[in-house]
Amino acid sequence: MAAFLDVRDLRCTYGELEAVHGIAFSVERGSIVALLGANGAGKSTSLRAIAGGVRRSGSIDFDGKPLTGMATEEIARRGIAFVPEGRGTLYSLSVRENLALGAYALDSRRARIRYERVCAYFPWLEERKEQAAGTLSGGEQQMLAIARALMMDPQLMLLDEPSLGLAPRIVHDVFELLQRINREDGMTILLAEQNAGAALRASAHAYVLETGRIALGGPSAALAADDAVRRSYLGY
Amino acid sequence: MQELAQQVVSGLATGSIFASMALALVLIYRSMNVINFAQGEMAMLSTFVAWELNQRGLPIWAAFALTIVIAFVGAVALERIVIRPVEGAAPLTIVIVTLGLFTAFNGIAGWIWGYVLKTFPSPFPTTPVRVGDVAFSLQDIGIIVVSLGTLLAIYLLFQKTKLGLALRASALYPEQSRLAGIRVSWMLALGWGLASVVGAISGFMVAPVVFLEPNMMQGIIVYAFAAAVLGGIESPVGAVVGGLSLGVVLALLGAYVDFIGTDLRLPVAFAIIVIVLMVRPAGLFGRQKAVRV
Repeated sequence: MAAFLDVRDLRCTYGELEAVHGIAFSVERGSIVALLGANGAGKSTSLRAIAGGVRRSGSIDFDGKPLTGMATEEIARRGIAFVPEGRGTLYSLSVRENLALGAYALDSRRARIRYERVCAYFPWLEERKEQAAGTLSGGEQQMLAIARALMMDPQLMLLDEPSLGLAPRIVHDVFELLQRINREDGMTILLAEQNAGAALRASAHAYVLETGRIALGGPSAALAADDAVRRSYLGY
Repeated sequence: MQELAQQVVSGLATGSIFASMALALVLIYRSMNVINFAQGEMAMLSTFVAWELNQRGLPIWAAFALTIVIAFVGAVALERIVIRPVEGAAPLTIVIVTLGLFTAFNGIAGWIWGYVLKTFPSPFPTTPVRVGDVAFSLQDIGIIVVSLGTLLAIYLLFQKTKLGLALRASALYPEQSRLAGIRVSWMLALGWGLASVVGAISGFMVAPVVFLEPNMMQGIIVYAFAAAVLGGIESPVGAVVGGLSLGVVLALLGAYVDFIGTDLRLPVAFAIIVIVLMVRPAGLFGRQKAVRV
């Protein structure tokens, strides 16, 4: 049986430049999978290829049906929530409006149920719902971005560099939260991360990308335990 | 004193027409970063449609209602067919397309209805009402009520509904909106439809005052530009405040400053555009934007 998310021979191009040269990976339903690698290895491009918005070829199958050729908004409606690098905060809108936008494609009854679920994860959102999202701290904006993605009631969450620009303690909180969402909601999560240590601890499976190719992949615990892998690919 | 009150009310009436037209411009500008130069001609076409329906026996308010539907559907179709192919193009390309639409609509209206001035029936009684010593024109009051009512409806749509939130988000954050599953491209078309409706209503209001002919909106659109620039081209509230204050200022200048009279009103509008752009380019309600280079 094919995996929940099955990516095969994915190539992505920016103009004349090919950034991802035919990679393949898969994500099982209910798991956390990490794409690791240095800046420019093609992690973000691969995620954005799944969410739409990058010129891509190859096949991306989600829940048994192909995503290739679909526009970003239709992919979102298929149940894939993408939290982009830099959190994608809608700065001038209030916290409440940021969340409401996440539930845009849902009917009002489902949106209300999602809102209650999201507030269970983030009780502070309820108290600050009229605040402009741009005035939140970096960590809070990252939490809001995850909350907005959860409002979509997605089947799969994609996160691009969720730890970027955050203090170590906040990074710890973000990963702990992602694990909790995975555990309690059975959420499937695919994340791209430069912070290999944190990502390997949180994920079940990981792939290491190097200049647009997959250098190696395997269970996260095995990758983390292998000293040679750590030194040559992950740099810690 | 009575004359001042009358001038202010008549200024507010013309000002609310400027405000509606300015809001139409701002709605498009916010979502596309482009001035729709055809906005006034779209309003003029709608007004002709209303006139035609009325000539064929439809009561004037029914003609307005039907025309509003036509103006909305027509503008959505126009966006889908003419603007959509250049949606991602440089702003200048889109500006040229709207200039093309301007001449096309002007020509079409002249071809169908000719250039002879037509009287447009006023939807309001022309008898004045007396409040104490002051006589106000019911037409002025009607214009103010209808225009501000339209603006209020647009405000409520944008601020209080889910669709309005999606419209705002699509204009400001198109990429994030797509990721939330919003069909941004359709939101643009919807924005064209709404701007067209607001413009059409200002056409209905102004036509009884200035007579109906293909060039009737060309003066109005300049005042609307001035109002939008004064209020801040990205600010809907600014467009309304800008329009109303412009109307009142022009009425008072016309009445009390002899050398301006009615002939020099248009240059005053141009002067306002130039001065605002020099002194405070973001307008009264706009925020100065820092652009990273």
